[in-house]
Amino acid sequence: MRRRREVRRTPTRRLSVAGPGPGNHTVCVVHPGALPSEVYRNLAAALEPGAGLTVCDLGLLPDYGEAAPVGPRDVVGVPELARQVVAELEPERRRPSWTLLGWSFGGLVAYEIASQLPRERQPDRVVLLDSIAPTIRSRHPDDSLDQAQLFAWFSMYLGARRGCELRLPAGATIVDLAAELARVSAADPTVRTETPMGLTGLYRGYVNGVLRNVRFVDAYRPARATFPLVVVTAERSLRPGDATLGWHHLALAGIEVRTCPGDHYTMITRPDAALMIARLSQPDLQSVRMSVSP
Amino acid sequence: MGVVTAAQARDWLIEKIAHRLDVATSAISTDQFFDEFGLDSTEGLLLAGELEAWLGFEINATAFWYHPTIAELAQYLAEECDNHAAQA
Repeated sequence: MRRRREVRRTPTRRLSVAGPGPGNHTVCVVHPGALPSEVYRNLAAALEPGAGLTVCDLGLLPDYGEAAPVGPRDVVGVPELARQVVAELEPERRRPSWTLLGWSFGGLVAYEIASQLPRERQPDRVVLLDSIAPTIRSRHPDDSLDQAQLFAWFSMYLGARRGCELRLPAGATIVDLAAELARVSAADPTVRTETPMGLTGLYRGYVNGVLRNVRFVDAYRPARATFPLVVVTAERSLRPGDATLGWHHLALAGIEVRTCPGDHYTMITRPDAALMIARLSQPDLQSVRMSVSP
Repeated sequence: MGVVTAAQARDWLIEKIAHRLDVATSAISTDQFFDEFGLDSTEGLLLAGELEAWLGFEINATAFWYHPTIAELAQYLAEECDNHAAQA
């Protein structure tokens, strides 16, 4: 039995590089996969001139991308993932100004990164995009996952992958989802249809991905934040009705809460959401000037 | 689905991957790693779902990890078919 080959793609992509000079900062995004890292091109375009954007795709770190039950590896823990991402982002962290973003599960890793760094090396801003905090209420056994909620999330995900919105009634099935995709495709041939059998395989993989994240979260014991947090929820969040997504329990140094257009997935693809997130990612310019004045 | 031979599984995989990539079946190498085809994880999972429907049984989530080419996976699937038939 041959092992999967060991040559791997690099997890880190620099979609744009910050210009020289202390006024130009870099936005670093911790991305948990599911969508290609190219989705952040709208965000890169929305940043102020001279700013850079780097994406670290956790899905390309074997300790996350191949963690059970998605793959054969054991779960190593959020702090270890954070250490690996810190190593990947070494060039960006050396810049006088950088912002750390994390989308979805990536937000937990971003939070842990900021927690691990000494105060003088912490990012100017930590922005969490529709990430659910690893607080007590989030902890649950695998079999308590709400299947209806999972399927709704999956439909949202499939819509984002296919570039359309798929809204289904409560109790919808895979067959209903395939039918809805076919209906949308009939009006827009650029939307690819899928068979119910194919969607069943994709859904199982999606659930395995969620279970993987649950195992990481359930073992994670975060420290309370010594840095201010910015929490951005999507209009159609994974957890509607929870304005801070649980982060207020950990935000010792303050929390800013915003809501951006889109659902959990399209919030990182829509140009209007990218504009908002770009503004929230800007560092405190006054702080930057103070740090470089003679 | 009855017992599937490695050749049948190989032909099925070649056809389905070629369809997803919109290329001729002759362009698909059975010794190429799956992730070199340009199929991302989503496409891979969709393919796995259709494969399971064709075979009539569920495939272990790690099968694509440990059998990363069409040739190797086809051989594994044929063995799994034999195992399932023996247990039936």
